[in-house]
Amino acid sequence: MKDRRIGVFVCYCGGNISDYVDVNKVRDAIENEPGVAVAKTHMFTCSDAAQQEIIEDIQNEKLDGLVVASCSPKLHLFTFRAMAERAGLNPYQYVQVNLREQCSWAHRDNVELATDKAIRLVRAGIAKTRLTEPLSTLRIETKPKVLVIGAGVAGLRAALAISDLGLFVFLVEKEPEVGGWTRKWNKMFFHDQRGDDIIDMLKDQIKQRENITLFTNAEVVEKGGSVGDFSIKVRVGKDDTISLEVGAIIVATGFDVYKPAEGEFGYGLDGVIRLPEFKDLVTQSNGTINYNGRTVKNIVYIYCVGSRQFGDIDNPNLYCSRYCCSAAAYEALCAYEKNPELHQFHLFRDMRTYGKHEVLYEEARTRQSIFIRYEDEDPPVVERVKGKLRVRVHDQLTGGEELEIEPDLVVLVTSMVPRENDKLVDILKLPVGLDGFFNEIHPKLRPVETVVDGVFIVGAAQSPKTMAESVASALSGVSKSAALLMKGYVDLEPFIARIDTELCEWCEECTKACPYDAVEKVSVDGKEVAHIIESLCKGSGACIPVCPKDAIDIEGYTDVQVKAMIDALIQEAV
Amino acid sequence: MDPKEPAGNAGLKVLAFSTNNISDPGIDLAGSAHMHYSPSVLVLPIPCSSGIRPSWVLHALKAGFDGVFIAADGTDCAYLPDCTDRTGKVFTEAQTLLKENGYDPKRLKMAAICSVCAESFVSHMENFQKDLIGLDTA
Amino acid sequence: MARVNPSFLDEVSCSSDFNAFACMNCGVCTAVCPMGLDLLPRRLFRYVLIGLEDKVIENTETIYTCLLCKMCEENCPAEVKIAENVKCLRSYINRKVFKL
Repeated sequence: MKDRRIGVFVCYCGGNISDYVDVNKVRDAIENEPGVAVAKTHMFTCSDAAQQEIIEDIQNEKLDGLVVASCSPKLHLFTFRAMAERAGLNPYQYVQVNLREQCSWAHRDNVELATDKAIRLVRAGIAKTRLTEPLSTLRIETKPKVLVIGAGVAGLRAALAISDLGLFVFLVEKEPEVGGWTRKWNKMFFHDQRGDDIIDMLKDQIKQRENITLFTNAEVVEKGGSVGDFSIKVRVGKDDTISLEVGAIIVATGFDVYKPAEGEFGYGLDGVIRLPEFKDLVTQSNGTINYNGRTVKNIVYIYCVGSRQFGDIDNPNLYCSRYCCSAAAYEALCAYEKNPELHQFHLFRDMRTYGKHEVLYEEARTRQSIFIRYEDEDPPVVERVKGKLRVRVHDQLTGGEELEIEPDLVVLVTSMVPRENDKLVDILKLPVGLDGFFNEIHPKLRPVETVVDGVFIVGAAQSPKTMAESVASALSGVSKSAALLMKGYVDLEPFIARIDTELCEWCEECTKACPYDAVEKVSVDGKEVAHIIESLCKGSGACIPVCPKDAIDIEGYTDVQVKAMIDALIQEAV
Repeated sequence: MDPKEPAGNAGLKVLAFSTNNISDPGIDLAGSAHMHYSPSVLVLPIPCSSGIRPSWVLHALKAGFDGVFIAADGTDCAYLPDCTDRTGKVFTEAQTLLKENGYDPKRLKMAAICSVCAESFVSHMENFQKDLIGLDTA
Repeated sequence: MARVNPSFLDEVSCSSDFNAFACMNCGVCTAVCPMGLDLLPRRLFRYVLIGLEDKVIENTETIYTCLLCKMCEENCPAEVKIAENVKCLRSYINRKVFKL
């Protein structure tokens, strides 16, 4: 190993570290470690002044490695990477050591032991840095075009917003018509705007855009390439297949309506229908609401059908579907408007007309809607007795009185469920959560990004949403794609797998283990070996333990680096 | 062993493999919330718990660690939906390797630690160190 | 088992002031009632809303014990016009039970 010139900078963090760790003792303990050329402390390493001093040290001392021992890498990894780059040091030869979150703050009761641990942690950082090599990001020129899959309200709105930004859009819809569920809906809260009107409006706008191409009766059948430069094949109609080059993909495939099992809250009985079907009945009504030729006078709604399930069910839907309480309360108002003589009983578990929707609940209560809460463990029973529907439920507000209601119609307030999209999931390698919806990287901070770079999930395909939330999510997907594409290029992290072709015997294990199709077979000097497709590898390391020849390493976490770190961590501090 | 280690865990050295995206933030949170755990717990972050080589576990015990804890991604893993199964396989293989080398397989422990599982991490560390006291030294 | 009569509510609500639906079942009315009528008015109006006619008729005496002092109404956070609502009920019972 050639002699390294590593700079180690230990941070006081203005007392956050130095109150519980003897920072100077840490510096003294490591300054004579092999490879360490400079060892200093700073009050705030992240401050502009300290960064400037470190840059000078890097340049004056001709450092080829950098250790910053301060806070968690989640905070300042990118700060110091950028600093290294400004100083002319390869940013991947810098290692962050977590002395605050994982040392000083957790061991405030014992300065001596915290200092001891800090020394070990910094030594491990140095050991890792000693074995770093300069790495470079993989730069990919991006295509200024976006593929939007699904032309429901989220997909349509996304397409327009991308077009506004001057990027080209390919909008692919499986059905012969655009609009998804929204097109089928009549009036919606809040403004009583009709779903089909909204869709027509969006459709008209899209027709006027030269940079949007819409394909209906079309399905994505193949994806190649990677972030910024995907090559996509779309089957249009029965036989046509077209090829597209896009930089990003927005998946807006929406949801499906829960289909209750036979007998679940009486589903299957005459007069037991789901909320969307009830919405159609209300829409068609002129005055009275009719079902199968009969006039409906009394309605029972049962909430949370297919949501917040528990107990003895295969793969229960644990989630709340968010839109249904508000949608049912609103529909009761629409029904009342058609026929104020109606009696409507709402059997609910918890009303979640959250945010601004609360007024719908208030209003429904003033319009002949009676709300009866049922216990999770004691759900209502729906039967047909002597030709009549009968619903039994216990009313908590009368001390558990068992009520028997004979409605003309039972409306099951059904949940949103994920669409069956197995083919698309397989083609795009989309991550699917336990609930069957697509998985984001971080529910709060990165809600539309997926682990597949350049593929974004928006609308109800990601989780149940109201239309307003779907559109917000769609626009968030647009800004993420635009942020990616408008720069013109994308730099990929170099911490990915590498193959030792001398050891590799091509047994396929790594290919099978890789969820991203990032391993391919190549021939090197007549020998078949594995090769990592850099743009596809995410550096998870899933291929590492399956290799029988130990021929794979992840850059930044190589076998020698990890072992050197373990040795440094266990070495007595002083 | 350090004589000043608080009573209860006898300063047994634990190497904890954390993961950059999921369990390391969870362990960070334990510190941010000023929860206490033993300073003999040393954390080594890697990208994903399914990428741990069983030989690293053996290496750690040979080097002098009393136990190795895998703070796994669990079902939160952003890379792999079946991360738990994969990490479980690594875990089983590592235990076999420990047995073959005369180490008690109980010196390796694994649990999913999510990005906000601070309390869970702290209690896992306490319990693991207690469990380690009872084991025969290799 | 109590059979729900959905049109009961229509029959009881004698005026546009009838606003039992506004009740949020907090129980303040019961707590402040000088007659200590625990049925009135919270649960009573629940019976009306749900349509449990029998339960209401069963409690005819209680309904007439009310002083209409409006202590409950003064204290009701949901602004239920309790006295007005009791009057509606009495009017209904006069018709239905006492055939007046």
